[in-house]
Amino acid sequence: MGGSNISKRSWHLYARMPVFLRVIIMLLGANLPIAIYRLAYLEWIALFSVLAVVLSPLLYPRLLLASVGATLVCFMVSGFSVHHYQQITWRSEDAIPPTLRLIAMQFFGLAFVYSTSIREIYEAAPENWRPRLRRPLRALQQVQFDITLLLIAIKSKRYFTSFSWRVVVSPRQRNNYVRTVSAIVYGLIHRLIHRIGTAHYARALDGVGHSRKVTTRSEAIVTTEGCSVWYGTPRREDSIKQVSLTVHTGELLLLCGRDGSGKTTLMRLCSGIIPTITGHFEGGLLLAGTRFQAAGHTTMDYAHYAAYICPDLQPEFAALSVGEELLLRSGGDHMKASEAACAMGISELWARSITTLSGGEQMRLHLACLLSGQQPLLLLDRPSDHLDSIGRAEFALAVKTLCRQTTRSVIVTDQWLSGFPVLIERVVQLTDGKLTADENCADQLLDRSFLENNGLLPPLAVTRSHAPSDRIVASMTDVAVCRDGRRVLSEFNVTIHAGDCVVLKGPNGSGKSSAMLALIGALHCTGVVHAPKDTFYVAQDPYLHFIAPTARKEMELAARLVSNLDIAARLTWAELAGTEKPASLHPRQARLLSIACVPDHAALTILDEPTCGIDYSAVGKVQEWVIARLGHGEAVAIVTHDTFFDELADFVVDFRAQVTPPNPVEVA
Amino acid sequence: MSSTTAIKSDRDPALLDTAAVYFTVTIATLGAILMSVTSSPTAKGASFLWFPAALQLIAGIWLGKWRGLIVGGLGAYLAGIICYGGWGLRDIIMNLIAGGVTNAFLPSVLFTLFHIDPTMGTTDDLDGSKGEPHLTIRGWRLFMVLCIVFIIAYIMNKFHMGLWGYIGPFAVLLIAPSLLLNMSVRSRRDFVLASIIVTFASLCSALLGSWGQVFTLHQSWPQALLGTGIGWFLGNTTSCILGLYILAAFTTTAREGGISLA
Repeated sequence: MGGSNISKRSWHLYARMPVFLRVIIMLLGANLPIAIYRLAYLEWIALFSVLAVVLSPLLYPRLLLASVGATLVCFMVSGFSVHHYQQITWRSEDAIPPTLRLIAMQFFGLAFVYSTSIREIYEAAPENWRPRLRRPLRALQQVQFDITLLLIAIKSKRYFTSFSWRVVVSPRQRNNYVRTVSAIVYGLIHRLIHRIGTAHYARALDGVGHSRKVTTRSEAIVTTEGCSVWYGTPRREDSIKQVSLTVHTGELLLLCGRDGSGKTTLMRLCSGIIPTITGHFEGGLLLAGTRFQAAGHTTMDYAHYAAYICPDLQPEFAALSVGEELLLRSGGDHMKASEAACAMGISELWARSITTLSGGEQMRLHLACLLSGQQPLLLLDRPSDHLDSIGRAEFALAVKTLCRQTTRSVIVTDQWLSGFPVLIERVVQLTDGKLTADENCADQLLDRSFLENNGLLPPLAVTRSHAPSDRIVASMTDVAVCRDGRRVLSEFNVTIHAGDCVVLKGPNGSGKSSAMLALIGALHCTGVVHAPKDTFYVAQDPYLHFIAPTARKEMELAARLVSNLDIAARLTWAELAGTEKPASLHPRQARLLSIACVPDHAALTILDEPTCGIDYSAVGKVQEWVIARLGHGEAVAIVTHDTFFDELADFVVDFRAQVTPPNPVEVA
Repeated sequence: MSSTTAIKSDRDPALLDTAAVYFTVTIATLGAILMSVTSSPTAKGASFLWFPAALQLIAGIWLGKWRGLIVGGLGAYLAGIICYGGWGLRDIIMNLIAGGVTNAFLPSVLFTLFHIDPTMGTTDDLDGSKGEPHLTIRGWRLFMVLCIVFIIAYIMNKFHMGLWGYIGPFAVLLIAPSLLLNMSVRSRRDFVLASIIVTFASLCSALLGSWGQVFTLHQSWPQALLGTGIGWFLGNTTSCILGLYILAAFTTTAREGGISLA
């Protein structure tokens, strides 16, 4: 494993960077051949660049004109120079280098995006002709995936709504032009600082996968002794207060409590994110018999004992195929990797490129990586949020088996699991940061008042009072979507009328999100798509929406798109004061804020997995929000695995048979 | 078992290394763009609008003088290589040394020497964000006019018209005060001292850049100062003062995130 580990490890740093940084690196890479050319005058590099510009428009014909035009202008302007203020000359040595730089950028920028995938081009060549360029191919493929992600993010209005020229120059609010831009810059710096921490933790977890194993075993895998945790300096309010808890080896513990009760903070403490990356704690903490002080330990020290996963931490992968990633995380143990893949139902995806996985499939892979890892303690914060019902069942079974057959312990907070008391051995309740119940049986999960107090009681079925109209607001006819050379959707048809509530359901990887991204124009597709201009898309990951430094400023940016945004009321609805930093919001607040930013009277709003990261009380709020929208005659499309919106739905688009070949069934 | 009551925060030191990589990449990228767009008419690599100076300053303060030295120097040097293939002796002097030593290392040492608090008295980064710049309508129109002048200057600069190249930094100088002076910091003492330090560091940086021209291209000192030094000094100082506001706004967050030693 030694040599290959080094090559895989070299990917880690790159893989952990945010997408925009990776794109920046790609752009730097695009310039490098030109720099070499200028230094060494290697003509053949220039030849490659010229080939690239010929190839690029062919791959994306619509950009042919822009590409050629820009190249020519650059070529001409760069070559002119005035000597002694008298004679104007044109010199090829001045013109060619900047032109080639532009060409290289065009190649990387245009040929990669929405065009034929690098892998597809490679595999289209006869086998004997294929150069042995596996590693460069993988690198290019990853870069292409990153660019596509970024473009999807921009085109699906996550960034675009706030970066648009209209926002910057809007005359509605005077004296705020530069303030808008500076708010965006402030928000980006916040995101970057936040991102450094998350990337660091992900890297620490990966580092454990193929290094030394934990040999220490003790009865108590984790013990907290009167632990209190707070964020920020000076200390204001403790997020968890004097919590004493012991978890034994092989135990499966369900952590209950309403949103904001301190579940995530407790898990962060056990995983070492607190205090090595954020927050502070006092009290005693022991992991597998080793005492951890509030200072003096690295993230890696903790990562040998515990692995943590949460919904606001986007799954990140260092390898490019499912199998490679699992092997990497299991320290090269093929058996363990295969078992984890089987447990999470992704054995068939072993050879698949990670770039072709859907959000749900990526989450399955992420969980499989945790299962195949070495850590004796798994901390699972709402792990089944992005999974379909089959995936949830498989995961619950896998966790249960893991606890029984090994000495690994699991602390899980998942409202879905609370519906299956038979799986749970022990229930711990947190209320306002205090440990208020610790029972060694799951009988409490049958107690209605207990469920209600902890936000575990599913909201009641809701009904709507307004009927949809006959006016069509959006339609998709014979739509097909290919991503990275793989068809993820075909012959898809849907018609949405004003006032319609459409629910899109189906297993992970069946093309639900792809269909909606195609509808808003964020994914390239074939077929006929009609969508109104004022379509708003709320992404699976709400954090992708945020660019401002505070929640209020985020709302103000949204308000500049429309004039009818009551900022105060919306902040209240999202349970925010306005001064919170969006990058570090609780998932519940982040979800509500992302929805609250949708303006009134949008012709169509698409909510992608709106119940992820929130408890049942917040689901009720989202239901009410949807009903209010429908009452105003607006259309709402909801991509979900849950049943909370079924009663509201005018029709359900079922993607069950969509996997291969795609063939959604519209159920009236 | 007795409980541990250590309250002192101690983040993972490796976070600083991760942050250093991010800083280097950002400086290189931003630097490559600005070296292309706002390059001196007589010296490639001498940008007259060197925004990365703000990042070099921040890297020096947050990551410490030695990491700052590496990040600031390497970032600028990479920018030069990417932008115009510059990796010779002149680029070592102008980018690697000027970027690392004078823009990052020197301010870091002087900040420590004079006990300057990089938060400039702000207790929370939201205090800093209150000091974000804003423009009046008249200011905005002026800004647009200057942008147009800036673009014209850039195009003229491409024709090697010499002094046209200075319009860019002068445009920045005209617009920068109205932007920067509307920002707020709480500790005037720290801000004034820090401004003097970054101005001094920019002066050293510009002199070093000019010396690079004299030493490697055999220009006379007046030629080097006129063609490189003045624009370098103005662009660098403006960017560094912007960097001071960023420091004031984000040092608290950076401390909490474990990426600031200051």
